[in-house]
Amino acid sequence: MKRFLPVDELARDERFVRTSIVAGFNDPRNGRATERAISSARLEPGRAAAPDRARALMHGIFVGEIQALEGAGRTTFDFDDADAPFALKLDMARQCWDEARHVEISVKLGEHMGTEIGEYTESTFLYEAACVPDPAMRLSGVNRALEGLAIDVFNTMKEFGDASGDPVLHFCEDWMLADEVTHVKMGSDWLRRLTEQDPDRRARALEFQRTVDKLFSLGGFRGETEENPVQIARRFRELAGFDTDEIDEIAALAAEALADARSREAVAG
Amino acid sequence: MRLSIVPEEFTLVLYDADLVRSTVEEVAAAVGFPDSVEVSLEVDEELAQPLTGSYVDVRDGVLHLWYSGGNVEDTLRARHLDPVRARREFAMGLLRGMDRLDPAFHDAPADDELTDAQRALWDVAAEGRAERAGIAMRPDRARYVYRLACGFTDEADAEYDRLRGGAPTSWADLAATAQRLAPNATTPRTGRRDDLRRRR
Amino acid sequence: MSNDGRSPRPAFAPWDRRELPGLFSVEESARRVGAYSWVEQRLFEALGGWIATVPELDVKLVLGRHCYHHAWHAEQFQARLPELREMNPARCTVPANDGVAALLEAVIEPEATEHTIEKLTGVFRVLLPRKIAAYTYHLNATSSITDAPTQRSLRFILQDEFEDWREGEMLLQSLITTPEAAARAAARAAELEALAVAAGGIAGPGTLGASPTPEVTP
Ligand SMILES: [Fe+2]
Ligand SMILES: [Fe+2]
Repeated sequence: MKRFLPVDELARDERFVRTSIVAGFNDPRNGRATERAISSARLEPGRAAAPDRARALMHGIFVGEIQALEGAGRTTFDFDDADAPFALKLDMARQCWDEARHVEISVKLGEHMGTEIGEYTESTFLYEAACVPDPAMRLSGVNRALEGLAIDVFNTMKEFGDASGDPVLHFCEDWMLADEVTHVKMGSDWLRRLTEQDPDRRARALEFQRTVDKLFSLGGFRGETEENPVQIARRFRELAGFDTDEIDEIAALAAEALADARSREAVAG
Repeated sequence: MRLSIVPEEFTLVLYDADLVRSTVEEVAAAVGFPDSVEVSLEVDEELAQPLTGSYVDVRDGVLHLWYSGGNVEDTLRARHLDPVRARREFAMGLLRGMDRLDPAFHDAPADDELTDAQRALWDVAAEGRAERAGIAMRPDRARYVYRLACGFTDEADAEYDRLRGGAPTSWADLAATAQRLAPNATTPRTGRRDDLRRRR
Repeated sequence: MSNDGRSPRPAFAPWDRRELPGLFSVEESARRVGAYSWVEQRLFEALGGWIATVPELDVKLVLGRHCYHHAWHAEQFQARLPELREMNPARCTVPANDGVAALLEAVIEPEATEHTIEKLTGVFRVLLPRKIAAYTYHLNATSSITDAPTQRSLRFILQDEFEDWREGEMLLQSLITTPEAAARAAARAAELEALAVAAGGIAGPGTLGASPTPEVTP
């Protein structure tokens, strides 16, 4: 087996249909929904289309967990012990187990919420972030940016479960949150250790993390306003070791991404 | 069947208005929709899945069906119609329309005035009938929508089974059931839900 | 007899049949533990790498779970090495010989999405049985008093190995549904077994003890 498996070689069965994130940019319907009198884009049970929106998000989580599993797995294999010490690979192996359990949980939750595997498309840019050749960048882009996003998404889903009195959703999301907080901590820990003697490398890794954070706030998906379906989970992020400045920065990136989306829509008319 | 479709031609999505028409006609025959009733169908092509929603109302003897374009969109191919989803959605609309034409439902409020629980109970009854009419439904999906509105409780599940199983119902029955489930309903809402049709 | 704690009792209760002698010196136990650790490390890395290459969803998830099991085994062995006077565990964490290195290289080699049977056969029909055999021999041959910490780790690890082997074998049986697939698995196992034989087992010659000397009849 070769090292570094490109995204187009990810193995899937025939149920999975891949899509690219840019495919959606040219949809002439983009932005039209914002003209409707919908009180909030937040994912809440009383909002328009809440069941279908929650289900679609759940399927997105499911494929995201598969890619997180694959990404962590590749990090155990892609590097020499000199570039990625055994202890780092051990953490990644542990993450493999956790992500495999998250896939299992997501499958069960999908059944609970009435989706089927492959009902929605899969975009693979989570795995793409896990393809960078520098382990420090991988750890910052995947474990800090993407696992951080997972904290936001799971907390949003947990609150959705609370508000709708869904004991299954609440239970599962709460457990997954515990794992994701651990994964973010691993990322912060290894970023610090790997770049201890190399401030430039640390700066590059943090820059990559910002890029990924912005990408995943695309179109206002995540933020802190009524216009963002997924809300930034400040309390859990603090538990995971993000300081207030870092969370503020993510919130600012998210606000920027929402403004970008709105101006794109305005140009498209 | 007198059927008018809005828009006559889709421009934002790749839906074929003729296919929409033939699907409605085919489903109408399957569920036994009366030929004499005029139907006005609007598919709002500005809205995409998963922003779904639908409204069924009778005004002056005409059945008005309104769907978000997302209700009939292929979840794997954006802007394409999914004929299987379209069959399900139109069957539900026509069956609830038949209810509204029935005196047992004459005092039912308009769709945009129903609470989530009332609407969910009504949908469950229609789903069961659609399935018995030979339309392949998605009970897993329906049950979750229903539970979100009526509660994740054994009591709510029992009502689901009763209505889906074809127990005779009426607006009075649905309203009373919603009332009965309300203390345990997890989204007790009396206000109107967001109406996707209204513009800011 | 009084029960006041003052009456002398033997150090070994009558039911405690542990024996002092063992076949391994400190150095030999360390050498083996280092060799096991090297195998566990290559294995967990391979399982991790393969996750993205197998299309079968259930296999992906099992690989993810087992990946951690073998990493944890390596961690147990790494922790034991300094206790066996190997202060630089990396020095000891090497393949027992070139044959073992060749075996692991061959086990890890398949990559294509259609080669799940080849991947799983190497792990579950060749490598895991070889590991179970080697660890069981170590468990039985070493002193149950002087090398008890290694034994304890081996018992935990063997528990994983048995369960993982069973799960992998069941996956394989569910994937092998035609005579052609059965032949593929058999050919793959034969090819890798030959390498394992050449290596003398995962700890090299003597993995399962010295070869018995044939009895000579006068
Ligand atoms: Fe996860
Ligand atoms: Fe994670």
